[in-house]
Amino acid sequence: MTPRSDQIEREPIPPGTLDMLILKTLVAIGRELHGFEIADAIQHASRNVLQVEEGSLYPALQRMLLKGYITGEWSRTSENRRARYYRITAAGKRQLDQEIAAYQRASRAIALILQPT
Amino acid sequence: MAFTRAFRRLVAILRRDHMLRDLEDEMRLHVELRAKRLEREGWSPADAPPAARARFGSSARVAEESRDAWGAHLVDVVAHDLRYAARALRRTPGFATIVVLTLALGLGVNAAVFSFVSHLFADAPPGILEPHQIRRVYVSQNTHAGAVDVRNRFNYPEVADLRAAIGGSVPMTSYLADSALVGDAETGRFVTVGYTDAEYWRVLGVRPAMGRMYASTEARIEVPVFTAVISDAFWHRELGGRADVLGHTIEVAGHRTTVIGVAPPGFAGPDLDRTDVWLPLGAMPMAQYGSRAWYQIRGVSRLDVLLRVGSQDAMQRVEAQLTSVYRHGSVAAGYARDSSAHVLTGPIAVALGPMTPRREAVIATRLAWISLIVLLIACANVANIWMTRMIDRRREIAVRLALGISRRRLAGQILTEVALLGALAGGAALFAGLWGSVALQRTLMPEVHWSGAALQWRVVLGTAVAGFASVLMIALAPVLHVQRFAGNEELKSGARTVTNAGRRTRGVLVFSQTALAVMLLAAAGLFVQSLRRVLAVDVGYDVDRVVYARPIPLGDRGGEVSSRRLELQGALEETARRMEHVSGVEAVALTRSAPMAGYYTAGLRMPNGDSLPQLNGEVPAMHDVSPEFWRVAGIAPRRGRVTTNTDVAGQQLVVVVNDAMARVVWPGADPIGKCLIVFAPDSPCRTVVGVVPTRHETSVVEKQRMQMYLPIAQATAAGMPASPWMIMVRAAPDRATEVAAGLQRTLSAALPNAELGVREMRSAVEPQFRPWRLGAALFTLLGGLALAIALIGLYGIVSYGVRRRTHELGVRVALGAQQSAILAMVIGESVKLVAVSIAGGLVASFIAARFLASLLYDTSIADPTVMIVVTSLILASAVFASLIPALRASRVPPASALAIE
Repeated sequence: MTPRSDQIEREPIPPGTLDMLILKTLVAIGRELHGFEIADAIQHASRNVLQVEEGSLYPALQRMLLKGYITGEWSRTSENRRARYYRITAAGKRQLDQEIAAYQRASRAIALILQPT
Repeated sequence: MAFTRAFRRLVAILRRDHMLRDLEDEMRLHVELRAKRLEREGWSPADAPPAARARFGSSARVAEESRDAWGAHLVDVVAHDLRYAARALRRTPGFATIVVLTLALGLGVNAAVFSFVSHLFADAPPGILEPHQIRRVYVSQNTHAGAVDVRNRFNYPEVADLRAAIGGSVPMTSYLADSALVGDAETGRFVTVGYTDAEYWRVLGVRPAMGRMYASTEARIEVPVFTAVISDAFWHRELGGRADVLGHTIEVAGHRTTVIGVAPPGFAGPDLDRTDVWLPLGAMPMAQYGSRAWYQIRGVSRLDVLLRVGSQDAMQRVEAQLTSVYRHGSVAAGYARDSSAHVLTGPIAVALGPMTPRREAVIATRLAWISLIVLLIACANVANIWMTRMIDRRREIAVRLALGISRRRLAGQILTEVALLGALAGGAALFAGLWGSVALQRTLMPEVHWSGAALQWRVVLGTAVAGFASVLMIALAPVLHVQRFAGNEELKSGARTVTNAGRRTRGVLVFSQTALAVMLLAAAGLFVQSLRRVLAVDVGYDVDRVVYARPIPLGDRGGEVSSRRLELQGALEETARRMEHVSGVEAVALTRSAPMAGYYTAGLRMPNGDSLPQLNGEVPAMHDVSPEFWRVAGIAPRRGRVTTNTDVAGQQLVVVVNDAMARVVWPGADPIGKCLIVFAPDSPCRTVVGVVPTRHETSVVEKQRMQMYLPIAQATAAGMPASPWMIMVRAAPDRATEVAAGLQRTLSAALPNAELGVREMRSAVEPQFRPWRLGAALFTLLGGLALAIALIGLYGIVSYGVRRRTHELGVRVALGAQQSAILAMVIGESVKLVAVSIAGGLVASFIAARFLASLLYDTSIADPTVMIVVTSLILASAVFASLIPALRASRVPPASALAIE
């Protein structure tokens, strides 16, 4: 049996912002998270508006691992499942600041265009 | 930072299997956790896992994108694509074979021509120390005709002047290379012998591998010393690499010569032609000139001069110095001051120097362009076949796209497939090119013993670059096609339409390859036309009937010059008497110059002391002939008479002139009975008794020249009565070879120790036709290849079109279309396509033919015959290529065509 769809309309994450959201989530929660928790946290923090396209989370994590923005440690979940826990690095925090600044500049500019005249 | 990132990337590539397993673990956990969450939210245990998987998306794509991120991408993808390509090609071996053959042909032609050209223009022959420092010396002078004449041959007094001028400051050497018989007359062979000074070895930086090089005391010009240095190749080839070679005696041009040294492996002299034996300059067999030796006069210019100059500045200084010395030297020797003379230097390779390149070299460089065009045609053709294959595989592609493969990956796979075939073709091309390059060397310049390795690294590199470029060109159209591919349309059942884009691309490809083929065929046609005209040139001799010999006595140079000359004259006269009775001989003459291979000039004045007018900037070429010369050569007088056996010393002094001379010297007047002062100004006047037609003086293709004949009995040479040097025999039709053998026997009996130099005139003149024949043959060969490739392409597109339209054709037949109408329609369409190509190709060939104009003889680049022949050839070929598909189309049974889906 399929439940009714949520009342809230869900939005896919705007392109190019996934990295920023992951990094921000890791900072905001303040502890190591595994992939499912990150997806969950983004959805929760956006009050269920933003929905991570869950598959796309993992390539993004791999990219940021390689760039050194995050580190990944294998560990056990509370249910004793093997999971990789991600933690933000100093480089990741610098990157997050830059991305937030860039994003705010862009969204202010967009707001200027969209505001009623 | 960048370093640690690169390190992590490297680890990722190396441990990608491990990382992939980790990733799969993570994804599995994610989907399981999601499923549990969904269950908690009220989904049934059966529905939750699929829903979780759906929310997660394609895990294959996640893995692929992650691998992209790791950069494992390249390694993985290439390996995978290669396997895929190999599988796909194994399934269609016919297709793979055609592609590899076509490409190998295009690349192979290029490898061959490139190898030949790069050999010709190589920086330096092997084995020379710092070859870029070696400069070859040239002198450039304005000719009477206003043209600039550049030569790299000097006479000995000039060399001595130059040497004195630069002193010891710049290392300098002079040498000449000559073909000489090494070994005895029975078993010997002609090899290239270098006669050099002792500095030769020091200047070129060549040290003996064994023994020693000759010293300056042995290399004095006045004293022949018969000691030789041999090449490593000669040592192994002719002497079996024997260990006791030093001190061994070989016979060089009839002289017993002691081997004193072996050159290091690889070294074969500073020329294109491989030198095998080196002797001191003094050992060179040369004729005496009157009382003086060749090295005492300024008439025998046969020496090449090389310098070793360290810097650009030094080079310019030396050039200036040599120029002034050269001008001064000519003046001191009593030659008119030639202020235009300039001494220049160039790289060691003559082909890179300032001289007008040989016709064969020009043909070779033009061939390089032509071979590129052949490669372009091959690429267009392969691209075209590939497009057909893509369209045949469109369902497969559509399915793969629907299954989520990215277009980029598809493009990568096409590229890999093309590259795989390209690599196979490139390998085959190198072998073909190696063989072809040797074939080119043998046909274009057979007289050169090529030195150096046949396969150079730059040829391999060049072929690789050409192959890479070809792969990109070929892959371009199919890749663009994939980018625009409307996958879902193809999956609809009964889809019959092929995207117009694909058709257009293929149309363009067929157009361009046919147009290029038209261009090559037009060029080939021009060369053939040019060859026909050259072959039809009447040189003024019965070339097939004349046999001649110019013997050079060998052996000691001792004895009186005059007695040696009398000995030669006696032998020639004896031979002439005997030859007259040999069967197959029609006439025998004695002369002082070989037909089309020698003349002399001398001071000529009008009776009032005025000098003679010139024709094309040149003075008359003169010949001393015996009375039988005219019969032997097959020349009849136009006016008056030719010389006879009554024109001897003591009688009236006579000359015969050719019509060009009659016209230029006595315009509008009758030359018979006019007189000319020949040789010294105080000589008696010689009366013109006859006018003969012009015959070619040196070449099959030449400007008209004034010519003058003296009876040998009335001629003088260096103040003494002239004696004959040559014997000329006229053979009965088709008996020239037999007569040549007879002459060889008779002459060798009369002159036992001499190089006889017996030749049939046909074989002496034949090499002159070679560049023309070669041009015609090579261009026709490449043009034919191009046509064949273009036809395969045309056949491909027509037959594909017919297959694609089977349904439509079936409908037409069902509606009552006649077979002949369908046939006409299919053929008509291909003819229409080709007609456009022909127009394009002809326009292109007009533009391109200008580069060939200098290689053509008396042939306009817009030769109508060529245009008509090429056009009809291509049209006929187009009809032929579309005949089979058209016949197939006309026989489409309507029922099966309509039932085809």
